[in-house]
Amino acid sequence: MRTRTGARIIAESLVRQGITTVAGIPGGANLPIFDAIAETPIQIVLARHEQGAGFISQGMARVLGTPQVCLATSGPGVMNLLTAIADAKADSVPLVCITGQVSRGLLGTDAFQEVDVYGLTIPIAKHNMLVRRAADLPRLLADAFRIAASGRPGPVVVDVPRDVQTEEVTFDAWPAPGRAEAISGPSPADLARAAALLARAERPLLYCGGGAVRAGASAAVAALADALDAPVVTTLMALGLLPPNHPRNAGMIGMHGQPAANYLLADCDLLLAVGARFDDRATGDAKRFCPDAAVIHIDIDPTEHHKNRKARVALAGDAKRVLTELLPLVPSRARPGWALRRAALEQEHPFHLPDCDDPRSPYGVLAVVAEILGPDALVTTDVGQNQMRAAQVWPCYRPGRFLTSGGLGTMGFGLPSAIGAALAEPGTPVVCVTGDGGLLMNIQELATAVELGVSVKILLMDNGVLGLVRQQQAFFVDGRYTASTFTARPDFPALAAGFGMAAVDLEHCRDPRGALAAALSAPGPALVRVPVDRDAHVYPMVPPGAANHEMILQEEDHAVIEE
Amino acid sequence: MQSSKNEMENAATPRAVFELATHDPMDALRHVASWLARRAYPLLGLVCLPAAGGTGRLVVAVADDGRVDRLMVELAGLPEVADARRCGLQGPALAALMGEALAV
Repeated sequence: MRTRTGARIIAESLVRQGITTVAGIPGGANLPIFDAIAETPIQIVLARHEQGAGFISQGMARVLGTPQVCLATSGPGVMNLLTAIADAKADSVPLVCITGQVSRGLLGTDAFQEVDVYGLTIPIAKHNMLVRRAADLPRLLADAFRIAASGRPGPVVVDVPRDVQTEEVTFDAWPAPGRAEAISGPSPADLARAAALLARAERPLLYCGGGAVRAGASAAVAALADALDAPVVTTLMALGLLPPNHPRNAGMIGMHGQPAANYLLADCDLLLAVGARFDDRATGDAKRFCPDAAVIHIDIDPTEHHKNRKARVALAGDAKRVLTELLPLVPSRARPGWALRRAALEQEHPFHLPDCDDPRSPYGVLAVVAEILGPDALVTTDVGQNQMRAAQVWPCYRPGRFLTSGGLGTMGFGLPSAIGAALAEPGTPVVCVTGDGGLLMNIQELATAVELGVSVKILLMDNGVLGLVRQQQAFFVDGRYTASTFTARPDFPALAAGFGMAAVDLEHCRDPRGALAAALSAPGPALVRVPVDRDAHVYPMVPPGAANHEMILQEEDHAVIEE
Repeated sequence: MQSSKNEMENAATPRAVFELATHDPMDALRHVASWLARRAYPLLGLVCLPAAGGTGRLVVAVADDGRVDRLMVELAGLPEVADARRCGLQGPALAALMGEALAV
């Protein structure tokens, strides 16, 4: 028999789950949890805002692929965490969020720092629990980790009243740690139907998303693409699934995707969606996305099937496993006409990014940093023009190394998630690509980075505006730049220095390449400011509601939308 | 007479009833109601039937607008839901539920 307090049960459960680092902020309602964790070998990272804590945990989870833990106190603590929870749900990131709650007798009384965590998190979490008895905690914690990791991963919220944390209970044995459950695959009949469709197709296209990356399906995707003589396009979440120089890789599609890849979509007669959910940023106008194509949809989450696009064949299961089972059923044959069509589109619509050889330009600095750091670097981005430029120019040679807020699109994601990534892989260089708007949304985590001494290099694209908002205002509301310009602009290098962080400003730098190399090779965090023209737009751009082939291209600017 | 028109429309709407076996019916109730709201689903009735041992059932009546099969897949995927199956329109609980729905 074992006797423990609820808080001790939580702390020991985390150790049993293999957790080595948690991020959070203590408060009155979760003090016993922090107190108990402090007695274990687990490292506690004190974030400066709960949203930062959530994204630090996300950074760890995205790199490690296993559920990671963040902690917040009741009321405002958990309110600050909500954005990171919703972000994890949108991008299928496994998190266990343990929140303090007022004691059971105060529930529902509008007590100090009381909010209905359960009610607030139902629509934004994969699952949530309100723990009513300490005796339930061993099972519920194991359940939380199991649910977070199983099938399509996601965030699980465990809300623990303070008196449950201090309640002492006796129990017989620990349950087995919660692990991802094995899932069944599609039926042989469905696989055969899919194989028959693929065999008949003349212009098949593989459209891969984050689910393909998470399943480790790179080799299976490449093998099937070879058998079909088919190109592979990816979403933002699947960058690196195939290396940029892979002959099957036709590039990223969507709002700021490669023009030839976006045009290719309109021509395919069969679309094999692999771990992708037909998100509107990728598809543009869904009604005109691959209009002539029959769809085979592989997804581990059956609720994604037929949600945004009706599939001819829906295959539920792990992408790698389904592709591996499908491959021997598909006859291998060349499709020279389709290959020629792709080559013609790429010749007709080459994707040239401007000033890639100028390390002071937004594309150039990214290209130089990628060259210096090599293919193993981890990249996090914020949201906006910096994110799209990084997605376009950063050469992703491996899956799972480009961390970005794809579904929720949360500004402020970049810095804290970079800290988490650095904690997950201490020896790996981590680059945080951000803008001044996004950095300011979680600027307080500069202190966390300095305190931890993590090797996070911040590439700050400083244009003094909300760049992608301004771009949309230029294109779609006749240049009325309402509330998108920062008139008070911080001196970011001085700000970094104030936090104790090394900083370099490329605006005043005679040797930007040398300065970059020095900043990247120095131990610990650093900030590199890159001044950016506020009217430098990101091309192409699919207008909201338009079809992907109706891109605004650079040479046309916004005067003409190509039909 | 707006109310009369609504009554006529409700009476004419095809409806579906399904039963969800739950691990914890009160937790499941909140998750199911939230899911229906998230998908903007027209809910006609929802009965929570706790059973011994902490488990229970939910009986749900919705307008059948062609999305019911998909809804069943989604609800069956909720961690608090152990099983989901479509019901016939007989039985006292269902009859009462449908009667209430017709009177809306």
